[in-house]
Amino acid sequence: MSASMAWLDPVSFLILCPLAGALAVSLLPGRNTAVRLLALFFSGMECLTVFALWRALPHSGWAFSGTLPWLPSVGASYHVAVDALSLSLIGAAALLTVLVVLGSWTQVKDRVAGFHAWVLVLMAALAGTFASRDLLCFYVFWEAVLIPMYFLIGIHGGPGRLAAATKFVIYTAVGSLLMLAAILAAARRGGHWEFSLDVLQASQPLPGRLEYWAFAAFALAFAIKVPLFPLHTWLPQAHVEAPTGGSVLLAGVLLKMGVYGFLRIAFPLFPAAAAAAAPWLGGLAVAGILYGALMALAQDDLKKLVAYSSVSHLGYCMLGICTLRLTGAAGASFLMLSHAVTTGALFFLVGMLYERSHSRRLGDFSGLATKAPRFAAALGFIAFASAGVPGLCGFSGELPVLAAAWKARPLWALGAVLGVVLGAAYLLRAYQRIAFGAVRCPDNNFPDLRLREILVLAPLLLLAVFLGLAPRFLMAPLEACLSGGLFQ
Amino acid sequence: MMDWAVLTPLAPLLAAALVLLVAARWLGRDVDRAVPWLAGAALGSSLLLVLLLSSRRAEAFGGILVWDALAAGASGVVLAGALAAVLLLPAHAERRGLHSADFTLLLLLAAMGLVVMSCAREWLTAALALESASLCLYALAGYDARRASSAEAALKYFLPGAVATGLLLYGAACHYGATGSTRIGAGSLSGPLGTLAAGLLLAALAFKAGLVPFHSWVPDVYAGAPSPATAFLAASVKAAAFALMARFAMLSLPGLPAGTSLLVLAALATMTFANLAGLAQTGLKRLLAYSAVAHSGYLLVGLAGIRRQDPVGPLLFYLASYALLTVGAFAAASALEDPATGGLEISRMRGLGRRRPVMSLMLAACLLGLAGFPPTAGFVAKVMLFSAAWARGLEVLVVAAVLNSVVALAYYLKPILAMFLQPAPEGAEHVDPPCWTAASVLAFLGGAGGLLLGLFGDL
Repeated sequence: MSASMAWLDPVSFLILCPLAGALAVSLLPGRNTAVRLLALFFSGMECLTVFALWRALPHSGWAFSGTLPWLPSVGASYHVAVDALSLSLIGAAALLTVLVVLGSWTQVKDRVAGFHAWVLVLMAALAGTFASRDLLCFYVFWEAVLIPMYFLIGIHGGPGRLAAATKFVIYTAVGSLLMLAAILAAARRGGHWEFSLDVLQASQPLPGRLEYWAFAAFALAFAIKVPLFPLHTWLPQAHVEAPTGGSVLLAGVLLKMGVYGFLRIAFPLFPAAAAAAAPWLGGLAVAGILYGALMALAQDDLKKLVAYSSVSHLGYCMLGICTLRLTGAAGASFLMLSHAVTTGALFFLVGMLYERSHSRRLGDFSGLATKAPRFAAALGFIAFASAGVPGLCGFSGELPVLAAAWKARPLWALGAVLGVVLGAAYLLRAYQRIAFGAVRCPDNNFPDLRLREILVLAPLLLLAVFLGLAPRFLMAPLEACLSGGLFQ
Repeated sequence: MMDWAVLTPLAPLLAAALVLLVAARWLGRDVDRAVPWLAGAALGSSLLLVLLLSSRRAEAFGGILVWDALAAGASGVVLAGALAAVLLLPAHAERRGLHSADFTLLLLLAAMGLVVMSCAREWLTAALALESASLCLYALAGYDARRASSAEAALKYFLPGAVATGLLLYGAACHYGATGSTRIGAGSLSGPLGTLAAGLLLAALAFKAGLVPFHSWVPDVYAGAPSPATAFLAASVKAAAFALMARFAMLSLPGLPAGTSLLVLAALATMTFANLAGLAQTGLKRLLAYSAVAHSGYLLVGLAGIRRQDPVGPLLFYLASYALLTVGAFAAASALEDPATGGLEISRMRGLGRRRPVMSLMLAACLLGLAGFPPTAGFVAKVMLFSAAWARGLEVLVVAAVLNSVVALAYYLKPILAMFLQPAPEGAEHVDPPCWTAASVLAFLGGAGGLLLGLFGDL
């Protein structure tokens, strides 16, 4: 950052840049091309900033911190900083935002300015969530994520969007408002309030039962967001009704807020409660892996299939954390990023499929490999990556999680391996139905991927290969920033 | 020592009221156009005096009236609410063919009564102030007498109000019997008579503040009264009632064993009932009325267990941000209301986000603020109030209040859903009334101001 930017720390820039973009975009209603270009510009800036920060990021610890006073009377402040985990999650959000803008170029035709404004607001809120180092500040950004997502689903979604948007907000609000009470519990330290995460992590845990109650409230909020089985019921509905861009960001980044919350807040602040709850949470994670996979296997709607596959994959992330081992936690973090890549690409592909034929039913398609070879190739490739084929990104994350699970509880590992098999089954089943056999699709008209669509998918496909071949690129910094505390 | 500083904010109000009283008789309806300016100038200068005197501590008439942070803060909210009502009045009076000079006169007199009530430290003074304000308020609620709902509002406000006055006086008498004084905080309230006094006084104030189970007038009056009167009722009357209640809670209740549990029970009942009832509403004004009742419940969370030395900052911040957001929401509702019936059904608001984007956005911002969504003022106010209650050991009450906020969110979302997510109903051609400048300004203040207050209000 240049000297003239000294008044603005780089992490705050990551939050303000998309907000400025949202403001700019919302001032141009009706001028759709200008809106799309502006949104592309601001999200591109975000991406480049993340990249620059990543290169300058120290080996471990929090960096680029920025603070401003906010609520001195209760002792809360605006405090942001990033480490490898949070910066890489912000990076995933930024990249997916760029691709969402690009990908919705022809898919979103109505209220274009509003759509892009909300996408950019969502980006800002996500950046704030992953960068907050103050509990109340974290809560503000955590809740702020709800509003843009509510409007993205509710305005730009499918026929059942109203119910889905309302369910999404109420479901998550129940968890997060209880979290507010838990924040008060966690921040009350010896007669005064302390909201700084750095200070809270270094200080004594809460006394007695209070720690367990506070952990339970945090865990509920985070588990709803993940979503951990059996709190996942909002997710398939939200995904099916959300527009493609909304689904991409929802599965790609929003769900990771829950896992991130466990990793960064619930586990470090309440170590004893976390250690006691880990076996239960891990069991639920395995149940979610299997349940999500079985449900995905039973779906005829491709979007719902991908949504349930997210439930399954996020189960691995939770399982990795619940092993309470560094390899597991780092694998889980890696898996979050790899899932952002694969699920983002999958939702884009589903969106492209739907845009061409107005159907997402597996039964409506077959033989697209002949009709649209590029589409089928991309789908197959990403299905392999998602299923955890060695050499691609899914495998590099799942392997350490499975290894850690085996060391922690072999039964978990067995369940999770069964999940991998089921994962391969539902993805290959879907791919086989769509790609092979006699050519059949609604209207008998299925143009292959256009240049813009290839541009949307290419970065994700390349990342899937890169992360698969060079996992240490991410894994090493993630391990460095996660080690300590519960994760030895 | 007598300090006239207490009375100075009243002077511009009294002067303007006298001028209006005379001018309206002599000049008839010709003064209508000048009335808002006169009243606005009086309220504005009074507000300025309050701000200038806000750090002053004074007593008058041997301690019957006090000027402290609580009095200054509540008076400020009272006057700001009155100013909002004056801003809303001209367009409303024109639409309904009302005489605005008399309305303004009553408003100024009521504001004076409420300011005195915020400063009162003695029950008979408080009763006088409350009664003089209430008499004006009954007339204000029924001002649009040709509309049945307004007349109904006046009656429904008057009857419980009369009961409340009786309770207040009876409570003051019991207070005298228990402590030998009608001074708030003189002697300790204890024994059966003290408990009875506290119960009666709290019940009387609960009527005025709209607490469950004395809330049943609120929805009808808020929905039926002319919109400027509703804004005044929701912001100013509540501020004055809570100032008096806070004074009582801080000075007298700590000595009473049942005091805290009384407030806790009232808070629980008010929040829970109002939020559940709010879920069933189909009209925006009635929804906002139940929201106002629910907010009284949250304010009680801030009062329960409060002691003499506790800071009143959280309570005042809550009152101010609630007044800002509620007045903003009511202003938007009054601008969008059906000119014939004065109501605003949520189903009529469908698709409003496209027809009136800015107004809808501001109304949505006010509603999200009332719901306590971060980072609005409503959120910060809740954090301050609830954290203070938590520090006093009322953890369970705070958790209940937080759970209530979830329920409330469900009904605050309903108008937002209608405005932005639902298309305008086909066939039925909706002619939205033209938006008034004043209402837009107030809605903007509520929406944008609420956001700024949330971000920078504590600095």
